[in-house]
Amino acid sequence: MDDIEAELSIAAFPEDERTNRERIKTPVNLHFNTDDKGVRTTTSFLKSNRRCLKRIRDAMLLHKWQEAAFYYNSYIQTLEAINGYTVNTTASEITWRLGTEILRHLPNASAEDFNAVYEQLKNNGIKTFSMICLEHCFHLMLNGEMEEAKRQLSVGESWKYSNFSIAQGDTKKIIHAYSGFLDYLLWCEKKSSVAENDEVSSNHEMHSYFRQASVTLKDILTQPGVWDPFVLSYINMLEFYDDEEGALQILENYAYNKEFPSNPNAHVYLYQFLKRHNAPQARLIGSLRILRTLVPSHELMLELCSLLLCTKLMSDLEEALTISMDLLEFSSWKCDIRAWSNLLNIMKILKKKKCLETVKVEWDARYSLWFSLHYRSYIGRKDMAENPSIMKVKRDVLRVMHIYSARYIRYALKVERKSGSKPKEDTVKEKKKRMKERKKREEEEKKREEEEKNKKMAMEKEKKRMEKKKMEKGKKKRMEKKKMEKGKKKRMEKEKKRMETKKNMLKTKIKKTRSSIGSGSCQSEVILVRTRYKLQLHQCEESKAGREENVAGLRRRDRLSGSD
Amino acid sequence: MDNAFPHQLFPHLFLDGPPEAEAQHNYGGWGSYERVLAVSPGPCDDEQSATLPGFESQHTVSGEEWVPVKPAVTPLMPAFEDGKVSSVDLPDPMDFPEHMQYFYQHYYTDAFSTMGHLLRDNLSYSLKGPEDALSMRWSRVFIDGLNYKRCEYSHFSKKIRRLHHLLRDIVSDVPPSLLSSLLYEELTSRREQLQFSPDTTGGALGYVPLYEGRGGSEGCFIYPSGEGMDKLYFHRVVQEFNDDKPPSFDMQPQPIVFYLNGIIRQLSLDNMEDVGNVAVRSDYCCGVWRIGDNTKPRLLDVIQTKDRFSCVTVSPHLPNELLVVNEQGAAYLWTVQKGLQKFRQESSNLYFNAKSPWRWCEFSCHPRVMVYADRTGVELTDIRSDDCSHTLFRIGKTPACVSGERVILAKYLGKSHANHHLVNTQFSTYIMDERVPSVPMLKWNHMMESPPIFACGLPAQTPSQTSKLLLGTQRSQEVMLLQYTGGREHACQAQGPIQRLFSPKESLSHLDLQLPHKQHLAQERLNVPVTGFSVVRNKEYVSVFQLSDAGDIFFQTLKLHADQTTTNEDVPEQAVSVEHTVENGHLEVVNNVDEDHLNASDTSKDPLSCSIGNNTTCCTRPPNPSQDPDLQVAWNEWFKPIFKKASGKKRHSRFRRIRTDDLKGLKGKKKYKLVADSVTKLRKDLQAVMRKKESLSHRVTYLPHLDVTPVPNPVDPEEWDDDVSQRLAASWEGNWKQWWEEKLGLNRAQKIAALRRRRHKAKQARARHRTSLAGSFTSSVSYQESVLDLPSAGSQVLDSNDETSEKSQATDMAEWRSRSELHKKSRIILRRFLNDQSTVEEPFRSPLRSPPRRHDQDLLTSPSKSQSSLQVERPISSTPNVAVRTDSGPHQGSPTSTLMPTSQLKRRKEFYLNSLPTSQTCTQNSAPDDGFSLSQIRLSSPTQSSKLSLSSQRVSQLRSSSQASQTKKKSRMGF
Repeated sequence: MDDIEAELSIAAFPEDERTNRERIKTPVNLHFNTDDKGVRTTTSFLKSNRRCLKRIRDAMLLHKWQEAAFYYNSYIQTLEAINGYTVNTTASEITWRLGTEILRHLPNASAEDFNAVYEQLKNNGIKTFSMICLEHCFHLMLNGEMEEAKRQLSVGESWKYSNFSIAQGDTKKIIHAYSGFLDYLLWCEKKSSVAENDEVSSNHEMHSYFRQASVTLKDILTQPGVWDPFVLSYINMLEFYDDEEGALQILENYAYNKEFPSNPNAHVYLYQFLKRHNAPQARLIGSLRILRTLVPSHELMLELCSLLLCTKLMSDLEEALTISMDLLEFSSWKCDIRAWSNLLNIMKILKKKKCLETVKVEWDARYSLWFSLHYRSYIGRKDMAENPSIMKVKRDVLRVMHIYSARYIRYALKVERKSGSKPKEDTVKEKKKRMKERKKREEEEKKREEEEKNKKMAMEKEKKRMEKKKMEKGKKKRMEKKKMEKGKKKRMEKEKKRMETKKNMLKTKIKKTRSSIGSGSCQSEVILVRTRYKLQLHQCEESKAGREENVAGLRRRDRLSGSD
Repeated sequence: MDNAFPHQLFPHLFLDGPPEAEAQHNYGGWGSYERVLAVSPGPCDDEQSATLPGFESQHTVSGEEWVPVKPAVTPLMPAFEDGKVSSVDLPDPMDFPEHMQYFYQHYYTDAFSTMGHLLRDNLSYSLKGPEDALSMRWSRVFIDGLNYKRCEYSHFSKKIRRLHHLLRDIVSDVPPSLLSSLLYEELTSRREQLQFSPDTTGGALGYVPLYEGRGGSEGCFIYPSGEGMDKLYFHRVVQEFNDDKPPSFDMQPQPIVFYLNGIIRQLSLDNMEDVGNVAVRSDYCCGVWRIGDNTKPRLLDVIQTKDRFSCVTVSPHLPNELLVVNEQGAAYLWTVQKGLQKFRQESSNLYFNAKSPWRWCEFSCHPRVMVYADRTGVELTDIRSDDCSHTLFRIGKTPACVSGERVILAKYLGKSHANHHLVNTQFSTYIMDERVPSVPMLKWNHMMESPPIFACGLPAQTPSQTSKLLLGTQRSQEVMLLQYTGGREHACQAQGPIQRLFSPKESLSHLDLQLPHKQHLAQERLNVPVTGFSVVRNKEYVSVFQLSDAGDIFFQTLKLHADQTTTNEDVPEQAVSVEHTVENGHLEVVNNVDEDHLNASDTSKDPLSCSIGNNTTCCTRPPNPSQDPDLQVAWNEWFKPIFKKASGKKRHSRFRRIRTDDLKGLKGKKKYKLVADSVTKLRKDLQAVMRKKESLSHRVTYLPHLDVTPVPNPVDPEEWDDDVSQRLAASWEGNWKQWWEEKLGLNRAQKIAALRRRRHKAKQARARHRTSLAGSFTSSVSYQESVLDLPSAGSQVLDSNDETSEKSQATDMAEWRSRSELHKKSRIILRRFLNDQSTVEEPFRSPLRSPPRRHDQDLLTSPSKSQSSLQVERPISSTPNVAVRTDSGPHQGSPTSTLMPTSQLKRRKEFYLNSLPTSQTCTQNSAPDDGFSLSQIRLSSPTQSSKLSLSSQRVSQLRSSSQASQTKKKSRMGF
């Protein structure tokens, strides 16, 4: 009884009321679902949250960034609401992804906003710490804030959080690699500044950067993967410090280690390195041969062919033939004039050496494919319209093989006939002559090269010469064309002049008649004369236009007949 | 040139092994740069200035902006009337009983015919059947018995149950157990099929531009249509250009139609020349057509096998060459009219057992090297040698696959780049370079809801432009636009975020509102999955065509939006600011409305606020067009056949209908008429009354009688003996406070004092009457007798210690009875009387006395028991009586027991209370030594003997309950 009384003696206002008065009114959040009592429930929160996320997603997929930003502001509450759940890491990753993407497309997002999103969400979702760290660094790098990026990377490197950091090992490796790469870039910067003013201190700094970079880069290069920029930078540094052995080792490992994915660039780098350091020709060929087994359609195959031609061994010649023929089967090389002329060149060399049999064997194996691939009538028409120069080379290849019956040759002949009217057309004979001359010259050059003994130099020179020749050839052609055009123009001009003189004559006549009208009496006669003159003038003009039309028509007809 | 290889590739980790990562969310396509490269990398020359090189990311922030011209897709032509519209809802395998029921009810001839034939001899439906046959009457009774829904065979239980047991499995042609399992299986597979059907991989819509070389604007759509999707249409179309207007497509009348022998699953075409091949795949047949500028489409060749085909591909290199693969894993090179040449056979999946028969083949950069794909990966196979193949792509760690990821589609992107291949999985899209196997050149998370099984590549027209990829899904009708550059001198880079194009099913919201049933009809038809899509490009417009399963083609046109810096005025101001409070470690979102205030209050927090969307200059997309009259016109055309068909459709069931018209008519008509009559009469009455300016009473009208609810009887508070009612009654009387005081015993002291006074008076009065000691003794004896004789009369029970004479008892009782009669007549009067009494007694204490209480448990707590004690009689007579009897037995010998059983105590108190009203003449004096003080009783109750335990327990129970009730009351007081 006493206690009841005691209880009763408690304040007249129960607690609820007091708290009611003191409680701060909560804001009305329309996107929240509430139960019938107006209380926000977890499920309803999740529901509305999901709906909000869907809205953001739709807006973002339709590239409505403002709308997405608007919804995103509400979505951020997820981070607070689901704290402590397992969902949290995923939610924070989603929030980060959405947030950065929206910020990127908002016109007035500042660097601080990006930093805030990266920094806070990185720590919120620990499972994605490394990834966000790396992305943050990329963002800074892209915006030119190298120092800050470097700092971010070092944060990412040193971050440790029990198993979470171990699980993100792969990302950490990348972070390491990039920090080495940034060191290298700083080294480059220092190097260029050293070149300008030789200071010991900056030199020292530069070396320290080298040490840092080389440690991390060497580390990442033991990991299988595609590390093109890292390899290049590391090699560059090693070459600067004249550690060719080390560089070669790195490159060979990068190219030939079986654990690494087959990356054509690895072989390219090795080849370029060898070439830079005047490696023997056999070695160059060897490295390219390995590349060929991996990528038979690589650009360097042309170089391999020319290298093989230099050896003058029969087997190498045959190999060059197969290489060039293989190359032409790839659709990317199908219309490449370099590849075609290379093939023609090899075939001619073989023909000259009277080894056409080997060519024949190779040819017969590919006969059906080549005819449908390269010498189809449609291809002929297309070549004729688009690039007649390749057509000639292709035709010559056929002629070397003594095939004259193909439809393709007919198209080629058409092209020739069309250009045959022109004064200086390089006929087959002329071409042959020129080829002979070129060969002679080549032989002479080769002799010279042998004399010089420095093979690489010779190679380069030969290359240059080849290019020059091409240039010359091009020039010649251009000259020919110009001449042709000049001739044409002259003719046209002459005609024009003639026409003009005629016109002038007519005009003067008209004037005369006019003047006569002024004095004359018989108007009807005058009118007649006038009309006659006018008619003549008209005819004259018409004939001029007609000639032009005729030319155009002829051209069109030519094209049509070509396409038929 | 496509020969060039990027000087540097983006760094990529190479890891062997199956994928381990779990798919967590579908938002991976945003917010990531993936990897970064230095733009001027490699040997830093001496010439290089001190400035650091720029960087390029693999996923760049912005690409070309392609803006839809119209707010929704446009139908290309009116809807086909015979388009099949399957329900989009996925069937639930657990619905099989319903399907079985439907089958048994509506296809009974199929379900039971065999047994019917067998039973024909023994069961006759004719009235005069053979004697040994069961008659129709029996069967009718039997069937009637089945009609009893509550239990189908308990009505005619025995016979039917026996029959049921006998015939359960034989009556139906297919045993129900077997049928149900088969149905379940079928529904499951149907569900899977609806969710994702790999049959249509590649898509069944094609577009061939005609007269392309001569700048023609004509083209030809190739698509399947018809109810079974087995008609192949070659439909010419003319594009019409106008200045500054998106191209419109004018379908030519009379398409060329081929009727095929199965559902058309996939179309493959590669119009490389003036004459192109169109390959069509259905399940067991493949056909090739030739289509040209001036020639009619002509069928070239058809092949047929026993194994289902899963892919057909036309060669981009050579005419009349195709690839076909069947689900057994055999891949063939099909040269038209020369036959098939098998180049690969796989009995299992390539890299691990994915349990999938799906295979796919594509061409590659070399005309004799083929791509062979299944769900686990993609391989390059050289068909010139027997065993020469190497991996192009495999599900694994290297491309950062997710566990459960499978290849959905592989496609050769020959037009964009001679060495590029597209590999789609349900999560990601990869661009692979033939020259670098296993390592993807580019990876997107495409974020599509269902796996993208259609893809289309649009090459860049100029080197500065981006190449485009369009991915399409089946069920969710999504089309995604992805842009990328590179692959030649530079590494591949994704340009800008992924863009989703419109889907047909969301277009109705942009159109005029239709009637609900029409809207529903149209929506149903629009929800049908997509079976293919195609892209037509001209200059700065891209039109995307989508073919639905019902045979409708929809298109949308996108326009390349040149970057313009315009003032951002058309974007509505969104007063939103993001405030990052670093200290708390979370983001706060506040409205901009009271930003000043916030900033003022949060000055310590270092706010990194940015206000979004406040009148800024930026490059904006033009606002999406909202309404388009042309669009509505086109849609109206599309609606026409559907609505026409729906209106022409008559519902006629094949089943006999029971005519209930007459039944309905009887009731319905009468009722209706009645209502009408009454209404007219009411009108007349109203008019009459209005004229007279009187009021119309309900009584006069013919309206149905109002349901007048009678005024409820006056509440008798006696009938409501619960606390609340009591309290309410008291408060009605105005005695609320008093009631509570009484209830809580606040006025106990006063009462006790009053009692004592009264008792003292009585004593004094008795003392005058008393003559001898014997009298007092007899009185006690008489009490004992009375207890034994009248156990139920609680009011008469007296204490042994009480010195009340029989006479006084009798007089008291008589008086009480008379009072109780009065009380029965009017309780309120009585109570007033009581109140008067109390006020007389204690005029100085409290003018309001506590209202009467009746509750059993309240006896203890509230000693002020008033007239209501009569009501207490019944409960006391029932349970506590037991205690009384048991108590009275052993305690008879010791009349002076201080250990009073509580029940007796109660009674005593009751007595006191009962005597309360009677003692009108009581004086203020009271004997302090008389009777028990309540505290004494309290103390005594726990020390009672075991025999009294029952009652003591009861006391505690009572007390607790009373306490409980008090706490309740307390809470109620809170109102």
